[in-house]
Amino acid sequence: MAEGMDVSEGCRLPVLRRNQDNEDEWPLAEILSVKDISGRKLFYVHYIDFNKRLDEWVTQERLDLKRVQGPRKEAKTPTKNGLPGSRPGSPDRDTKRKLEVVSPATPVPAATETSPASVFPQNGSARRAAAAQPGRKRKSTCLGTDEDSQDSSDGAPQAPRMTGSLVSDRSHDDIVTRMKNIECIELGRHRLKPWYFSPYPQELTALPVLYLCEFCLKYGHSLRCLQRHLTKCDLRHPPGNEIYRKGTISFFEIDGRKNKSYSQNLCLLAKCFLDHKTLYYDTDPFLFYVMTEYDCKGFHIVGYFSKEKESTEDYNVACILTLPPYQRRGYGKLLIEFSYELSKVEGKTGTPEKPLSDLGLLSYRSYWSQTILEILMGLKAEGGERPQITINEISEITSIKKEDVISTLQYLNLINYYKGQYILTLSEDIVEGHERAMLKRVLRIDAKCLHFTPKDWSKRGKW
Amino acid sequence: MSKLSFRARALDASKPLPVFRCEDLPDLAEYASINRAVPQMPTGMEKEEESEHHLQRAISAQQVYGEKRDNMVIPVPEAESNIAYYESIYPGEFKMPKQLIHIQPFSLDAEQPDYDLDSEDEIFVNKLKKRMDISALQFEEMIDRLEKGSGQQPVSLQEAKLLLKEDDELIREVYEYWIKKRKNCRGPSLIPAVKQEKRDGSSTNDPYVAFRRRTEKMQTRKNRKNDEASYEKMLKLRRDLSRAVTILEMIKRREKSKRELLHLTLEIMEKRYNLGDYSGEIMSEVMAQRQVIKPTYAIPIIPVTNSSPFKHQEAMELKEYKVKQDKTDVIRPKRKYEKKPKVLPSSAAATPQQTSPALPVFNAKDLNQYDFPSSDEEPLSQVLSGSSEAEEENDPDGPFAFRRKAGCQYYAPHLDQPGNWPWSSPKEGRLGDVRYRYCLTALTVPQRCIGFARRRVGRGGRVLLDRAHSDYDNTFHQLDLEMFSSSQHSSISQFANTSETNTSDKSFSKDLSQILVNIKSCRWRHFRPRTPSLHDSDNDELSCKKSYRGINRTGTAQPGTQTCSTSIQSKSSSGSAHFAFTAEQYQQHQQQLALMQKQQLAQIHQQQANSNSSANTSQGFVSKTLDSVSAQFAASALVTSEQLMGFKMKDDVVLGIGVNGILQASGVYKGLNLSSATPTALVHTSSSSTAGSALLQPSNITQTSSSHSALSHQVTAANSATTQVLIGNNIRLTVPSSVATVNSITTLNARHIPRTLSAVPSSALKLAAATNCQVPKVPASSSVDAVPRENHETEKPALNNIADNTVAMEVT
Repeated sequence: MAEGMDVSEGCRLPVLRRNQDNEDEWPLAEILSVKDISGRKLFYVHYIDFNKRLDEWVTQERLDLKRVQGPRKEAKTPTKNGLPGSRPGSPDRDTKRKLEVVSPATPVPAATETSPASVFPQNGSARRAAAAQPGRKRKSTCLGTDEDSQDSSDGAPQAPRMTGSLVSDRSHDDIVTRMKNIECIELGRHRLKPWYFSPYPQELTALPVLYLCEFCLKYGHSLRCLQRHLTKCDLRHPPGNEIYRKGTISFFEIDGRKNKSYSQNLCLLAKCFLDHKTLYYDTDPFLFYVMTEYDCKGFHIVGYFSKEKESTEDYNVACILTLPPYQRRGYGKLLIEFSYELSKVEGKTGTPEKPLSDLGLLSYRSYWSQTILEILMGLKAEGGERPQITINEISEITSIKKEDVISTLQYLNLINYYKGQYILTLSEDIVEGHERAMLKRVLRIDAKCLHFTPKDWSKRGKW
Repeated sequence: MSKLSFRARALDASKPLPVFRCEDLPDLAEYASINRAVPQMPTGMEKEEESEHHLQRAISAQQVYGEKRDNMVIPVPEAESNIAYYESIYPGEFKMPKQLIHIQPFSLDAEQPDYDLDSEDEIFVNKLKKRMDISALQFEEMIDRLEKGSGQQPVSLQEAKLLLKEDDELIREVYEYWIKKRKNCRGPSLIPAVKQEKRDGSSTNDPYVAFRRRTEKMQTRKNRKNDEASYEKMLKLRRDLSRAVTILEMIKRREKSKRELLHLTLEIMEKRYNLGDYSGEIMSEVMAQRQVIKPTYAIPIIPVTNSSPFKHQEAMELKEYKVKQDKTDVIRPKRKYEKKPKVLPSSAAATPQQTSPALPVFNAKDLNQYDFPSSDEEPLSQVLSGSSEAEEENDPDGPFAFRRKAGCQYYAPHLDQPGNWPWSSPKEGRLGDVRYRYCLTALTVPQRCIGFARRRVGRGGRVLLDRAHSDYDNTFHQLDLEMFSSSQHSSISQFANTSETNTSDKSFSKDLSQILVNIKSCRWRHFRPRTPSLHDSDNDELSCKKSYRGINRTGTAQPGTQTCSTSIQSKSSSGSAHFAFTAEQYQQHQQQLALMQKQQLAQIHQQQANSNSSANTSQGFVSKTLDSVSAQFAASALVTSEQLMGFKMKDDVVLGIGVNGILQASGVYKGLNLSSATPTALVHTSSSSTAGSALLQPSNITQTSSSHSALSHQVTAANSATTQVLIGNNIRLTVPSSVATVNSITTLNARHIPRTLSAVPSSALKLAAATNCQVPKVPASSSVDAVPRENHETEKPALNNIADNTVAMEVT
């Protein structure tokens, strides 16, 4: 097709992308937004079947304009439909719609001549319009009558549930939250590229770099601000009680109610890397366990997990994150291990809050596999009999919830039905792979270094 | 190999699973086909994400290789960790404490400004530093305070000066810089902060709003019951405290008034001393006059000599007046309370006569506060006071709140004194309601005065008379008989002498004359029998009535046209035929009357627009039409009023009177709507007509008095029977009635007409006409205030209206 063809929101086309092996690929991508910076058009693309975290702004050169697929049939309404700008003025929109739609104009303030909202005005919300497109992975289950009826039945916007920290139902996912809004975050000696949207103050989203104090996580808009801040901030560790220390690794416990400012800053930072995390409600019902690595400058945050003070669903982790610079170095597993150590002290089994992210699933599976295999391989035959163990026993020893034990055994393909009963079988591959992995796993939690007394939050009036 | 079609049993988590090495089970593969029975557990991921390319690749790589390969990991955006200036900006060397770090609560709350200076500020501060003494931290503190002091709108320079401690010059510099910077700022504040939720809920879906408060419901779920209870307690506490504030405020006012009163009393005492009024005669005379116009504030009379009966009676009078005032107020609908006048107690006390028109707008409670001796009279004030408007507004009981009903009196419970009836004497430490104190009482049959007695309502509505012995009992008996005979004899020629109170008959003994003086000055109550109903009345009474009617007619018919008066005359001759005056007829008349009043009103309006002088004259003319009708009706209604009384069941006290034939002349009944006009009329009937007007003259200063005097003339023209009926009908003297009165007696009392007409607003007239002569329960003087209230009075039973109206007509 000709260059003159307008590439607008909702179009799909192959976009040049370099993979990890430094090879050029042309995966199919969808245009989510278009902006114009000094006469140069930039396109926000989402690669189909790739995680959102890889979405990015690309120049027109990277678009394969010859293979553009127009917006899908749901978006039949012409893109330029005479609606002035992105401001929805049509009276038929309810408050919710308006809110959803007004905000997208702001994160891309430069020249969103046609915001996605105005592309699908009839559908009411860009989110739903986008969701209605087949192939859009995120929304394929959410669209349809259910959502429609939900939306139309009550005009008032619904507040999400108040427990937990993750949104499984992405009905509030809109074009604003689908797009990264922070370009770069400077934290200590690191520069992080956010993966997802985070509700930092809107005026800071236009900055090329957002400066964070690495100890109190306060955000500032310039390096000078950060410098000034550091003269006043005397924190050299997360503002909580250190409940674990072994070597340079420490864990700090922070009460989301008592230390709101830090908890909120931490959540804002974490949201940059956690797609499903919700910051809708305050941090009061959560405890934050921040893992740090010590050096002469202080205790540097490596990762954290949050945990509901009281969980009705046996969650022992709400959100869990290893900051990108520390990823793939075993810290994630350390965090997970720590969370199960806490559960062991509490005498409970636990499971992470759902939905898991891709990285979350891999990490947890890996941890579960190694933990369970460790137990199975350590079993000794007693009295000439075959060693045996129940799933409940595994669960009790590890504090891993029974369902997770089963799913891991099943994933590892250990459960077999043999001669009228279930047995666990350990293949050579499994054993070898495990032994290799355990050799690499040098960072371990030492339960002896944990100084943790669980509180019975249910006996308190408030969290 | 048996291809097994059976289903494997469910996996039992509590069942031991033997652990095998695969190499120990060479035949395991044969069983592989049924392994599908192992439950498939969900991954816990979102379905769409689960299928993502990189994840699937990683999973498969893991399964193939047993571990992840470097190129099979899930790609993530890169992160750099090579910030060169890191070492320089972060202060160095933090020694790890040996112990685990334990943070002290509140140790983090260092008073450091949240605002961080940026390079732009730095330039400004450096420039400013040359002229003034300012540090970066100081600047940050100033900006911080300005920001935190501002909401949507930045603080003004004036406010800034209050917020900041620095000297003005510096504040102005920084303020101007700040204002400019803030204007250019993209965010709502120079200290960037996460968007807060809006109270109206409009931010529910704003993605930039975070950390919303969890709703109350969530937080109070655990001990909700407890929370609710404590919340209610707090509400109650708040209400109680605000009440306490109100009470204290009122006490303050009361004490002020008391001080004022004390000064006034002192003044009076001085004046009396200068006048040589040692026996209290001048004082009592003055008091008698004052009572005529119903003073707002009674001045305590402390006799120079120890004339104990006076003392006692004066005290009674004080109470009496207070009760009257309270009644008028309590009956008023509560809307009235909104208009609390700003009348200062001191000024009110200083000019009691002037305040009389403004009186009804006082809250009953307020009045009690001003009353003397208010501090000892809490029970009474509690009983009679209505709840203040403010309290009602704060009342959380909402629709179930207790509301006072107009015309009802509510007694405060005296839990500690179960036998505290209103008639129990104060000596016993009881309420001793003034209405139940002993009064001079006369009976109809046998017709005699029984001396001091008090009336109270017993079980089943029976009216009981408690008698009290006094030294004058013999005199009373004599007095009564003489009075009756004289009244009957002189009824036609001497109307004034026939009042239900004592006449100024000179033929009594010394003792008697003294009593009479007292009665004349209205300090002693005197009950006398109501005119018995027509059926059982004796001839004397009937003739009396007839003659009264005749007089009434002569009085009222004069302003009317000749034809009218003649027709009335003819009617009067057959007056007994009119006794069967029906309610329908009455109603008819009412409508007629209302129509005429409307016409009259319209004309008055017109005339008032022209000029006052011309209006006055023409009004007299216009009123004629009304007069004739009202006169006609009055003549017939006079008779029927007693019949109508049978319908009027509302006020059981009044009913009680009807049953027992006992009447209280100027005493105050429960629910009695005694207007200020009534005592005037009564007083005047006791004296000769000339004396009455002479007595009245001083009180003509106020607008009220004009109608009073008019009324008094009318009453003098009428006879005692008229007054009796009037009283029997709950003594509702009304504004419209007084107007009508004036109109009817134009010729008699032409002098008063202009005044009354100007005094009574046309709106009152109109209202009276529109509401079928709804009877205002306030003195004529307060008709201005009464007007808006009257609109809410329409719910009164029609019968009551009729009765009330009858009274009004009888006056004319």
